[in-house]
Amino acid sequence: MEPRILSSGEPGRWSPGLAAVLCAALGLIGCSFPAVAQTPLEIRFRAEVQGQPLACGKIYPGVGRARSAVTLKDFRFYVSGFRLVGADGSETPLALVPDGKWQSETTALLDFEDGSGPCRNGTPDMNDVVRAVAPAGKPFRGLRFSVGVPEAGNHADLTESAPPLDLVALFWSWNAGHKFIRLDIATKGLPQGAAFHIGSTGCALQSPGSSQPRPPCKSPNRPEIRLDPFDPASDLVVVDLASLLAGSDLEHNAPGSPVLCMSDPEDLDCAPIFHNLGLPFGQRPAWTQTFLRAERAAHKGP
Amino acid sequence: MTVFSGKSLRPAIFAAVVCLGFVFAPEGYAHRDKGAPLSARQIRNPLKSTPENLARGQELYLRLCAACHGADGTAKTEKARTLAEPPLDFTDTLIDYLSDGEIFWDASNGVAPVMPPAAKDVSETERFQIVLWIRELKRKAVDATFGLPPGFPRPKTPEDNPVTPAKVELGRHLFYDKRLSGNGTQSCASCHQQRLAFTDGRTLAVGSTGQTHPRQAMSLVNVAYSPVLTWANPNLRRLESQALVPLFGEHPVEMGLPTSEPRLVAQLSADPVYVRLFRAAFPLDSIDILHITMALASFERTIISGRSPYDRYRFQHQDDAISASAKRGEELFSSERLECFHCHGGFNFTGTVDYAGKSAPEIEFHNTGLYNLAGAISYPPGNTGLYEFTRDTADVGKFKAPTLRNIEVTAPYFHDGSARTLDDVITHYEKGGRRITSGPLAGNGADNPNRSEFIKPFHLSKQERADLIAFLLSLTDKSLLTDERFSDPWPQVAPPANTAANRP
Repeated sequence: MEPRILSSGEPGRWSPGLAAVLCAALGLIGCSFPAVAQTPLEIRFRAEVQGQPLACGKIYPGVGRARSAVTLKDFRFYVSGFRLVGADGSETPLALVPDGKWQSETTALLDFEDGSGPCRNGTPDMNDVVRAVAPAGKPFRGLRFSVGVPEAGNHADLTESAPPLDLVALFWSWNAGHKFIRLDIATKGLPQGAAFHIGSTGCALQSPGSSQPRPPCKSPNRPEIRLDPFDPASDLVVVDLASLLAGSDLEHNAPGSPVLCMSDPEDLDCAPIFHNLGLPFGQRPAWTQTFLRAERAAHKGP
Repeated sequence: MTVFSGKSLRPAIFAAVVCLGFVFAPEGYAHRDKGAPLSARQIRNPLKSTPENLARGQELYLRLCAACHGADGTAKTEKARTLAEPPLDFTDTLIDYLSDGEIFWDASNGVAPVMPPAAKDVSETERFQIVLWIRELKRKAVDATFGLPPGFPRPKTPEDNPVTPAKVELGRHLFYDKRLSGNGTQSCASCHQQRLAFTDGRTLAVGSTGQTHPRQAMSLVNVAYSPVLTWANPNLRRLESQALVPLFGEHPVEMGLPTSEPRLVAQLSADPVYVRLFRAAFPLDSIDILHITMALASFERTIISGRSPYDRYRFQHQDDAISASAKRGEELFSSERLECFHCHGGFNFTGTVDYAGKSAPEIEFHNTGLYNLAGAISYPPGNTGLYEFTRDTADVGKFKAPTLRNIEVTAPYFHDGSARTLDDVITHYEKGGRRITSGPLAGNGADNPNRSEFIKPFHLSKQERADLIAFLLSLTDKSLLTDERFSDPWPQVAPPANTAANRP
């Protein structure tokens, strides 16, 4: 069985005839047809808590070390660096399709809050899909990407950053970079709210006019995701908050630290989530993440 | 390439909406019977505003169009004065009602009897390049009207009320005119004073009849970037609508205009200054409240502050524009220890922000732990913030984080003016909330169930506190406080001794 990257079953090349008809129908002048056969590709994500769809205002019992009842307040994260893995193990980078809202050429924002109820400070629109183009007709068996914003675009001022890197809510002050993951929740023990904000730390603050190359951040904190096998035509990337929060005590905060984890390598509240993200923490080296997994979508095809 | 995606019908739907839109275009702009026919609307400009297209468009424009319309598009040329009908001002509002196709058609065919078919001898591509340059002239004029500081994004403005210099000038006159209050004692500027960054220095605002407002006057600085207006209203999104609140509001009375509207319109209509300003700003024969609010909103949108020492440091890369202490303060402000940036992030130092080209408006309301009264409604009655609109107890005490720009001159602080100095504000956040030990407001704000999780106790050394304040003071834009563009345009005359002044 050869995985195919087409989601619709259409031939994986452009049909100039049909395109011309559509162009004429829309009254567009200057449509152009790409010479290289490329095919659109959608990578779909689903957020859940132990099989329950994630939604603002719902309460999810039994999460984390203290089996907490968790209310969602915000959940958004950036993904970038998409590659498809060929049968021979070679990697083909995917170009994302910029849409002025959810994706630039390199980075996409996944947004699982709709600004309602306890998610009030979020945005009404949601996004659970990454749109890319891939070379047509090539079989692939796996998917690679990073959770986070590439270093090259991570430290620019917000007003200089194209969507989706222009959100204040996902920015960590002027120089330190973006929050790669923003997860805000409330529990019985922390009713005013608790937050997990994951991003690069140990990034030198640089004066705006500095011509010096920026030194690398001490902890880049970009979880690397490897999904094998993965077939975009039939598979989803599933994000399970219960897996992400496994081992975290969601009822108490370590004294004198942010509530709960702002990626501080010395904040013990960060240890379990860093473990689940496969990120190094303290003396512990990087290992395999358990945050995201591939799942064959139900009710798909015969 | 998007033609193939599932969204391929969107352009068609959009085109259909546009088609419907121009059929119902404002009557004042539908009289161009001598210009492009309706079908010209459907001519699409196939070109994009690339530097190459704009450069070629500018070159052709200067050769073919500028003699009448002017190099800057304002049509203030020698030749224009000799014509029976004035040439179109490409920087004015009317151009927004013409499609690229109509401008293309007019340039190709002329508009009898005055305008010749100036571009008929150049190629279609070149004519579209001219159209792009004419659009660029409008953008340049709008940017000049805003006087955008370096690094600042272009504000979003309503499509039905684009900013023009004429509207701004009219709005400035209205803003400083006491005739806009019922008893002639207050103008907008009474509570929004330029020298105080458009605040009034009072704990709580006081209206024209002496009623005290439950909250203090907000700074108008950079209000063009705010997708929601006032302290906690999630529904008030247009400055045009917001202006009606102080003008006509009765609970409390602010400017107290409800019964004086005919008097106001009659007075303004009889004033030659307004006859001239209204005629320049709007294609109207009479003055009404709608257009008063449109002009006020246009003026307010130009009150942009971005020339503080911190801006010179941040956006113009002048490393010595702020002190080492202020730089340390910026680092503290941006730290997870203090968490200030969580609610006061971004170029306008508030999480509630929007501008042209932004992926989505961001709107946030936070409870900062000021109060924790007994019972579910834990904030003082009449001042419960977002709850007043949503009636959701989870929203009690939630207010919009104001911009911190010019915070040095906007004391006292918080929605109810309950902190006198910046030092008091820092102490409040240092404690993670305010404890009031006695009286009707007794309670520990830190324990308020809605208190933001980003507000938690910290301790600052004496030096750190000085650094943080140095950073906050680096946000003061002295030019804004004296800029003539925002100052009172009326001649300063001493009022007669025993009657209310007509003007400030």
